[in-house]
Amino acid sequence: MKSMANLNDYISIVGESNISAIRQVAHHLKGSKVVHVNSTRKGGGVAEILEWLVPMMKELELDVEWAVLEGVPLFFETTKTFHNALQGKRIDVTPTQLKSYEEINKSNAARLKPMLEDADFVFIHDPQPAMLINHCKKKGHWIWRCHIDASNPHRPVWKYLRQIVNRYDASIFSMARYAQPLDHPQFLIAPSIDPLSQKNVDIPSAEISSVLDRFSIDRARPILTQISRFDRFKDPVGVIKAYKLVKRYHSVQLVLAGGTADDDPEGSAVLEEVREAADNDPDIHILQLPPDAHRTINALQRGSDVIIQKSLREGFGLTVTEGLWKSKPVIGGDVGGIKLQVVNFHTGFLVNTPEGAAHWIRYLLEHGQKSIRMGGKGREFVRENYLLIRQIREYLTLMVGLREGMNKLVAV
Amino acid sequence: MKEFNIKDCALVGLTAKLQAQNMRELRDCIYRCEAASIYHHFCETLLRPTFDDPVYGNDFAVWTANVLNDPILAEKLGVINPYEYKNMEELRAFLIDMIDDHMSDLQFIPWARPGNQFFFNKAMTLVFDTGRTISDPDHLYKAIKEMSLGSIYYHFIEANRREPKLVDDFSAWLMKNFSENHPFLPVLSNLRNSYMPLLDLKRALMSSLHTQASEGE
Repeated sequence: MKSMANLNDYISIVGESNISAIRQVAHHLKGSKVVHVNSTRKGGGVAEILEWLVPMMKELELDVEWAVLEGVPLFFETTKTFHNALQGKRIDVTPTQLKSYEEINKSNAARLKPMLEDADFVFIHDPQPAMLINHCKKKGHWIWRCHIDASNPHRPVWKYLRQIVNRYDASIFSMARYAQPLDHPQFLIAPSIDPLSQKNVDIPSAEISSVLDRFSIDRARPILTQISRFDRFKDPVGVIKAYKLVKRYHSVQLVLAGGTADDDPEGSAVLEEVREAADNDPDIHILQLPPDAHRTINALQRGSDVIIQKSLREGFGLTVTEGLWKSKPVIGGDVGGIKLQVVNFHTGFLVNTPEGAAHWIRYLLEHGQKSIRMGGKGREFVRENYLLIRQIREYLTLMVGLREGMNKLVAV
Repeated sequence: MKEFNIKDCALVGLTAKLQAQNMRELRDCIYRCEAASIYHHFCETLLRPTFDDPVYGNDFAVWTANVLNDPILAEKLGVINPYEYKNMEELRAFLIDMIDDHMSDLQFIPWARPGNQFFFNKAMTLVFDTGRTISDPDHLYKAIKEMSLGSIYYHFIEANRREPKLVDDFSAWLMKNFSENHPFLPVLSNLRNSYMPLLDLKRALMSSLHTQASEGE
């Protein structure tokens, strides 16, 4: 959800020195013309980032515009194929699809050309608008921001995209393991969460209670929660198995909350499997929430004793970051970005099996003080490293660095 | 008397386009990588986002211990103070020699599980003036309390490799402008080579300076 906060609102969370640092760096970019281009104004992680990043850059007196690609269904079908192929799916793009991709980029370039050619910095998000660069004269720095895990792409598709992306001055990946070798500097900027968004802002305990009551969740007994789509890679059935192993010793409740699966045939099948595994256990709460139920998710996470994200495959895993921000220890699958966030005995436990999850859930329930300490530590790690303030500082640093010629140490 | 100008620094990571899957590849990548990458994994690691609170102060030791499960090499790597070397090339030569010596005693080369490679990175660091100054040593505690971790890193850690070497900026300022026996100097010296993450280091600095100031009253 869009954060309506301004920079000063974050002072109470990250301290004045951090906000002042951002203003200092931004001062060196004052008036710079910046354009962000992506493929949608609403929905999806990229639009969510731009919803706060663009106003915040404006507040810092950068001249920022956000342009959105205009496409047709065939184009979006093609770029969805690119997306899946970058994530490793063995899927090829047809000549008709490629033609659509190239034509849509060309027509959008004609529309956006004055803006793009006049900009000091052009940020192109993901593969959809990547080919705009082929149709513009570069005046400023062009940066390709890849939000996708491209660690193991389908080679034919990557080879096609690589020859486009190599024309950029730099690229940005979320983690080193997601990056592919390219001919230009590849920056690493990890995702972040907005502590003032509806999903993460502090909420009154009465509201938490009210949400738990609404779903008939007993506040007096331990609550285990996994927030995620009903997707096999999130292993909801494995979570139920872990819950059942814990249930022999503790009167726990399990909340599995995710988006509705009506438009996703596989999601519906997984939901069915989950219901079957739950076997009408009244202490397993399977909640299908609308996409804008941010505050409900916030309350569920805050009302929980342990947050679970037992994924078998994961990108960065922002639900883990959200859980840690709410001072909860996290039981996470030993995969992807979860490995960066969940550190055994520090912020939670990494697990590979339902048995492992059950073991460490019991450990946390039986070591209440340690659990509280780990939760507190997780929140501090997030405060220091994974709030949007850090992300904007890195964007600004990158921009100054590119302008100053990419020296290792830039003094301004 | 010269005022202390508080600076800050911001870092953004970059890939160094090398990765190691086993100990031999680690050695080869250390041989081939840019000096900036060695510096990053030994020194700038403190400024990089992390959820870990590692026992060892550099990334090579942490990976060797946690992923390669070789505590002996991890201990040898972990004890290295990078600032004691003339430059990163001297440190690189020392590292290669150490890993070669260690591998010569091994029957099998330790490997990382897939997905747990060591990714060589580097960083671009931006140093900027905060516009804030300190004019009186008695204000050092309050100034540190208000400093970002970037400032702590720049003045207390990164300063070690600037002239005068192996001295933090606060100590250099106190010695030059006040006294070579200023009571804060031993406090700062005790913490200079600690393995602490920056937030803990900041707290330790504040606590030690506060205690020292109270004793002096």
